[in-house]
Amino acid sequence: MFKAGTLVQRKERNNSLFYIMALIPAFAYLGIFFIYPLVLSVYYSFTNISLLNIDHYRYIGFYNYGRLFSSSVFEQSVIITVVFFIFSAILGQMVLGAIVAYVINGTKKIFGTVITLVILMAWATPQVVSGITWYSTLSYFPVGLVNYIITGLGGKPIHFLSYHNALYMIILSNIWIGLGFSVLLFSSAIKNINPSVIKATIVDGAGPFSRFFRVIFPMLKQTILTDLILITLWTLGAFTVVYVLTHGGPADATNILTIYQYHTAFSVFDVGLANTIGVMIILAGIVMSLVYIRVIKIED
Amino acid sequence: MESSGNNSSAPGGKKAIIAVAVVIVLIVAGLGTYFVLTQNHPSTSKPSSSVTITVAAPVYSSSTSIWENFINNATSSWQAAHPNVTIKFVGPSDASSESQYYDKLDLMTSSPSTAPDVMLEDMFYTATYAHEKVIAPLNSYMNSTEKASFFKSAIGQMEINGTVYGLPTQVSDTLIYYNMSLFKEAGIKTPWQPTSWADILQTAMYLKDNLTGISGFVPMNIYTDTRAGEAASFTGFEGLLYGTGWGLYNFTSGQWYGNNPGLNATLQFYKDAFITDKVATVDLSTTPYITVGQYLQEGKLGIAIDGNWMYGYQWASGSHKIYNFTKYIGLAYIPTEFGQAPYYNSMVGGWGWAMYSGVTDKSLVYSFMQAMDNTTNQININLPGQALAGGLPAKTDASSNPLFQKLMPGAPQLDTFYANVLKYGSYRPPVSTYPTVSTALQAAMSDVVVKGDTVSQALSAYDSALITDFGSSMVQVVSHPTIGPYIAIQNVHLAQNINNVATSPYHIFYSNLYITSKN
Repeated sequence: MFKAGTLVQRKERNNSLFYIMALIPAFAYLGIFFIYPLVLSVYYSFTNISLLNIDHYRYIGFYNYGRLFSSSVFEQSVIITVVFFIFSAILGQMVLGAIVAYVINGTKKIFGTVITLVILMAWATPQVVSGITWYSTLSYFPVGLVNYIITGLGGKPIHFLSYHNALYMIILSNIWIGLGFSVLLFSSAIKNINPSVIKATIVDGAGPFSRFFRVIFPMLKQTILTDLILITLWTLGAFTVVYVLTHGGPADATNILTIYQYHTAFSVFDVGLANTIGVMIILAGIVMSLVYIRVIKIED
Repeated sequence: MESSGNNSSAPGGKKAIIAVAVVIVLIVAGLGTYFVLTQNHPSTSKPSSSVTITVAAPVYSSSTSIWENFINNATSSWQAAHPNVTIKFVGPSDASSESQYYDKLDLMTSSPSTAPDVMLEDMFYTATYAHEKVIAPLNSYMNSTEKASFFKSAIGQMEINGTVYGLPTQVSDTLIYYNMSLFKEAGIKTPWQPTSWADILQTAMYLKDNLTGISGFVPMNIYTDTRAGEAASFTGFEGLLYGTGWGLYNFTSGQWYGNNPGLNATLQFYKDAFITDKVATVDLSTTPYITVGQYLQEGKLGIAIDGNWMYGYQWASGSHKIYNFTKYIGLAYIPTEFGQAPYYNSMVGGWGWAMYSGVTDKSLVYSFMQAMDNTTNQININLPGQALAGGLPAKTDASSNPLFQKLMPGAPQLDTFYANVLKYGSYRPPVSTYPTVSTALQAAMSDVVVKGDTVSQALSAYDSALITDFGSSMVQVVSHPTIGPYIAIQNVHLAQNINNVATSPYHIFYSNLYITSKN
């Protein structure tokens, strides 16, 4: 028994060694490409590092944070990001995604498949391509597709990307891009709901709206949480489509935090301040994710 | 039990061996890649009797073979006289844009073992590279005659605080293009040369009023807003600003201007053009050069303040080629604010050769750079199909060289015009913090033409932005700036008096109106 025990221990040790060895590359990858840049980003946010003299920088404490919180551009950027987030992520992607998934689930399988495929194509398209497509569609100069149709029908062309309209357009394009993921997620979750529950609601006389909001939606807590966390992080990190469409303009009308960060780093060359903005974005993501987990309590 | 124990431990042992093997393979692969990459870097170590000079230049709009052929042909005599020297072109061949070229160049120059001895750079970046001590000062090698052989607007960009850091090899400038067919249709006499900013606005208004039948017609274009980026600052705003006698930077005190009469007047011009007169539109003025060029070509745009590169890039060949160019598109100088001396202004940019600061035998490398940058070679490098096709030589004697006419074979008179423009050249302040100021300037333009802010509101925000970025001691506000003439206009030589052809019947009326409205 003693020998057998030793052998079992050795086997366990070998197994542990195997798992540790097998995980080394993954941890190395995670460490080099995620943890290290993250730590570096926080570190740089406390320095005056600049692209103009990248080898010489020094620790300046919370100076960058002070500058950021006293900046009217940052204040405006936060407001724009919040509006962009609420309308594009929460309402446009999550709520609309759940509704579309519910509707698709109720239609014939072939329609559902086709609609899901079409929506997913937008999600799978590289964002630069999406941005260029949207620009070609909405552009005023040169005349984009929509304005071409409007003027062809005798109407006046619309400045879709003007100071007053650009924010709505980036919200629309971001919904178009991100909707597919939420639809896919909610669709599979709705399919997993026990059909007898749905049947029971029909027997009890619940209409489609009350069935969705009172029965199905509460049963999707886990999916909502997953979707919320993911689209929050993606939306806070959204950059490509906005940059291609508007560059954050006109006159900073679509200057979301990531665009502000990019311009600070690569137009003004202030890498220290850009990292400070990056840290604020990361903190916002973490805090919001924790709030979601706290609010949407999931019973085991 | 023992047997069973042996059997059960065998797979675990195998797993451990496989895992160790995987880790070893990964380490070996990593080390192998590192050494292979290290070996690929151009080595500067050579036998003591021979020397290698490495040259870096952007290949994204050219090719390695074009550069190699140019360098070898341009310096064949020099190489024959220096048989112990080998010239090696080091690319970087995998940079597909200007920004990627600088990323690669930054990496290459971060270590003496990979840094090229000679590098081509946009003159705009000279101050930054000099500030980082990447490039070598050349004052000890360049005499005053050689320095004077370059256009001042070119060599000035590579001279930082009295120290020269490079040899300009290509310049580009800004000017006005106009659609002659539209001018004729509107009844405006050509050739047209505006003699003041008011003249530009007046002509644009006239086009607007007389060409109402053209759908989507835009009378004039001048780049603006953050979306247009440096085109808004360089090609648009500064082309006018230096025509006021003021600039962005006070070279005497070493401060940026947070406000001055020139900034005021230029922003007022933008407000007049985009908001008051509505002769320009933000939608077109934030598009790339190619769209503006196309609009001008298609008769949807009357006047465009743009660069000489437009011809080489867009109209000389390809799908947008304009045959008999000078019959359809007119060229004009950008006038100063009131047409005061020096009458015209143009923004000059371009490329120049610089030497790596770590070069041991600087005298030898400088003589190589001189050979590569003589007048004939400057013309050759700018010829169609060559490495820097579409630009102009930076030497003042280039236009008398017989080769000069070959620069634009389809319209040789264009080159003469472009070269004449250089006489009125200004350039961006060669100060490393310029990009920050340029960004703030674009924001100020946006405030006026997009948000509809007043000029003073926009300049107040501009001033605050500069103070936030540099501190108040680095920013100078010229107190109580007034919009309009800061010099007694009647005592100044005006372009309209020396250029009768350019004076249109509406000029005096509108000019007075413009000046009056500003007071």
